[in-house]
Amino acid sequence: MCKRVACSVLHSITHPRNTQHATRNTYHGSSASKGLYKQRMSEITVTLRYYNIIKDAVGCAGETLALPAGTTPTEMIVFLCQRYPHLRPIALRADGGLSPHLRVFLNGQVARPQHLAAPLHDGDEVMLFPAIGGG
Amino acid sequence: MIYKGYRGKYLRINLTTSDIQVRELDPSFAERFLGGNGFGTKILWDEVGPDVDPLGPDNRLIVATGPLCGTLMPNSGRLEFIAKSPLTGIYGDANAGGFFGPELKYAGYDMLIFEGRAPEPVYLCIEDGRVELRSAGHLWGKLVSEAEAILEAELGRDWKFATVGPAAENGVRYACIQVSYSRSAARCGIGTVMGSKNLKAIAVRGSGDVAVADVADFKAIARDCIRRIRGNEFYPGVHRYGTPGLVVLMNPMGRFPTRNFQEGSFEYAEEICAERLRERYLVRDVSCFGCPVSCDKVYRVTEGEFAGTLIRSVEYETLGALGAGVWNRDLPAILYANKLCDELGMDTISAGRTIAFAMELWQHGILTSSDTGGLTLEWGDARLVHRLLEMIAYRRGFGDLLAEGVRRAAQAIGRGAAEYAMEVKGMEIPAQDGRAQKSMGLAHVTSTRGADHLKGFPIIDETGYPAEGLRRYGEDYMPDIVEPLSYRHKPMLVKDGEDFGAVVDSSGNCKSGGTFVFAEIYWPDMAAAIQAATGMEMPVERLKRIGERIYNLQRCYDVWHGISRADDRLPRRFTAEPSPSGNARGQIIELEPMLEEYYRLRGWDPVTGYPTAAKLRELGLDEAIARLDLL
Repeated sequence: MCKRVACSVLHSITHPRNTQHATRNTYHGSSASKGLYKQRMSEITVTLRYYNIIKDAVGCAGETLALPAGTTPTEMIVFLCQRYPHLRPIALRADGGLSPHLRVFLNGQVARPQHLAAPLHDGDEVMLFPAIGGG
Repeated sequence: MIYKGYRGKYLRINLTTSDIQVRELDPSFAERFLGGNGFGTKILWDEVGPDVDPLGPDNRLIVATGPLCGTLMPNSGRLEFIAKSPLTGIYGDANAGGFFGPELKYAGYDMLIFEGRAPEPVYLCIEDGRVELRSAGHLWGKLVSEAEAILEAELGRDWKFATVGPAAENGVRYACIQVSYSRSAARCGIGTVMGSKNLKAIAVRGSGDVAVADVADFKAIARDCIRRIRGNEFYPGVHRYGTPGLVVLMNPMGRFPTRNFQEGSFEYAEEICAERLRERYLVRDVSCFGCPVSCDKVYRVTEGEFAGTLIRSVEYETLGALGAGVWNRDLPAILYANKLCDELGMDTISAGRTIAFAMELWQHGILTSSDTGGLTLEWGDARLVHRLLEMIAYRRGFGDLLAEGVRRAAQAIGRGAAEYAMEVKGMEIPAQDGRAQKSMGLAHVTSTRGADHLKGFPIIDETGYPAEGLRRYGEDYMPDIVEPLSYRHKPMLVKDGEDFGAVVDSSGNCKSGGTFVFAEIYWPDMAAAIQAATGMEMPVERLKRIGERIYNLQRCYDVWHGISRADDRLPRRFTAEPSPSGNARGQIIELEPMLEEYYRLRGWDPVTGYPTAAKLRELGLDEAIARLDLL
C-alpha cells in the first residue's frame, strides 16, 4: 500500500474510481528540488493512477499528490521513484532519465516529450503504464 | 530425405471413405513453404478451388506444425489450422497454442489433411504409428469439456485433444476448435469446417522426439532467445497480467471498441481489467509448451451469481468483445460468457461483435422485437448476452440469424443494417480501433483472412517503440513509424509484419512471445533458429522471400475467389466518423494513401489489387500467373 508521507497536509480521499486503494500525499520535493519548492509559493494537486506492474511496484492503484506549482511530470516521476524504489527500474533508465518504455498519459492523452517537460496544472490526472503490448 | 526439425511424415485422412494414408513430406515443399501456415496455404491453393463449398466435403481442414514446434526454441508450441472459411468464403486460418502441436510431432507427424465428410460422427485417434478413426456418436452434442472428459476416461492421461463443440456441429459460421480445452483456434469458422466433416475431435499422444540439425548451435540460439525474452522490458507486465493488461492502456488510447465501435473508450474499463482479474479471481499462472512468458492464467469466480466459474485463457480480445463491445461492465458475467463460448466452441470475437452489431441495430430502431422473437437488445444486458450465445450455438430463434455472422446478418436484415456492420471481407473486427493506430486500420484491410490484427500485427507503433523503430527501419522513418496516429510509413510496417508473421506461423512459434509482442525476436533470430533446426541454408533474405511467397499465395487464393481492390475497404465508421475517444479523438483512418503505398511495396497492381505477374515470378509462384490470368 502507498504510505502516507509524514509531511502530508491533505486529507486522505476516496479515489473517484477506486475505493480500495487510493491515498493522498504531499510532495514537498526531493532534496534537490526543495529549494525550488520554497520559491514556488503555490501548490497544485495531481491525481495519479497506476497500472499493471507499476501498480504492483507502488502498492496502490492511485493517489493524489500535492506538488509545488511548476513541477513537471518528469520531476514528479523521479520523485515517485525515490519514494517507491521498486518503481525505479520500470520508470527510469540507468542514467536517471525516463525509460522510453514508460507510458505516460496526461489528462487522457499520450504525454509527449514536450508535455513531460512542461509544468503540471492543478487538477491534472496522470496515468502511468509500463511496457505492455499486443492484442 | 527430409530436413531435421520435421518428422518427415504427414497423414491424409479421407473421412468419407475412412482411408488413412501416411505420406512422406517432400523436402522441396518444406524449402518453399516452411511449415504450418505455408503448408496449409499451398495445399488449399492446390486442392480447394472457388467451386468448393466451405462446408462441403471437398473443403480441406489442414492441421500443420512447423520445424520449430516441439523444440527447445522458446514459444514453440503453436499449431495452424487452415481451410476455406465458411465465414468469409476466402482463405481462412486459425492458430492455437497449448501442447497439441508438439504432441503431434512426437507422434511422428508434421501435418494432418482432412478431406471428405464422415457418414457418422468420428474422432481421429493417433498414438505414434497407430492411427484410427473411431465413432464419436457418444461425443456428438457434448460440450467441449464433456467430450474431452469422456475421451480422457476412454484413452487415459497425457493425451492432447483438438475438439469442437455444439456450435460447430450446428454450423455456426464462427465456430472454433478448442485445443486441449482452453486454447482456441478461434477465427474464420475453422471449427465449423471440422464440424461439417462430422469430425468431433482429434486425440494425439506421442513418444518420439524432434531432432535438430545442429544441436549445439540450436541450444545456444534458444538459450539466447530465452534470456532476451526474460530481459525484455515487456516481459514483466505481459508475464504478470497477460493480454488483459492491454484493457486499461488501450482505453485512453481510444483503441478499445465500445458499443460496436461507436466509441473507442469504455468508461468502466477499470471494472473489467487485468488488475481486477488478478486481484479477485486469479488461481495461478500457466504456460503453453516451452513458453517462458506464461501470459496464460487460470481464474475462478468466487462470489455472486457466477461463483464457481473456472476459466483459463481469458484474453484482451474477449474482454473487448463480450465486455466493452456490448457495454457490459460485469466482469464475472464476462468470464461466464467466455466460458460459454469455450464450452460451445465459438470465437469470442465474432460472437461478441455480432451481438454488439444487433444491439446497435436495436438502438437505431432497425431491429425491433418482431425481429428478435420478443427479445429486447439493450446495451449492457449481460444475461441477454449469455442467452444469445446459447441461442446462436444451437441456432435457436433469433440466434439462427446471428450465427451467420455480421455480414450475412446485415444482408438478411437490410434496412440500412450494413451501415453498422463492423467487418472486413466478412470477418468481424477485433478490439483494435484503427482510428487510434493507423497501421491497425490498414492491417484489417490487407489481412488475407479478413479483418484481423494478427496478420500484420503492427506493434512498434502501438504506443511507440522508438528504439525498436530506429533499429529496424532507420532514422529516415522516425518518428512517424512509431507514432500511432500517423499513417506515414505504416504500409511498410504492415507488410513487414505480414511477411514475418507468415514465417512465425509457419515455424510453430508464437506471436505473443518474443517475436511480435516483445519485438525482440526478429528476422535474423528466426533465420538462425530455422537453419540450426533444419539444416537448410537460411540467410535472412531467403526467409523473407518465403514469408512474402506465403503471403502472396494467400492473396492469390483470395483473388481466385473474387477479391480485388474493391474489397480492400473499411466500414464507413472508420473512414468518415472521427473517433470521439481518448487519444484518438477526431481521428479517422486515411486508408487510401496507405493502400496506394502498400500495393506499391507489395508489387501489386494498384488498380486491381492483384499481385503482378512479375512479383509472382520473382517469388517462384508462376503457377498462380496462369491460374489468375495475370499475363
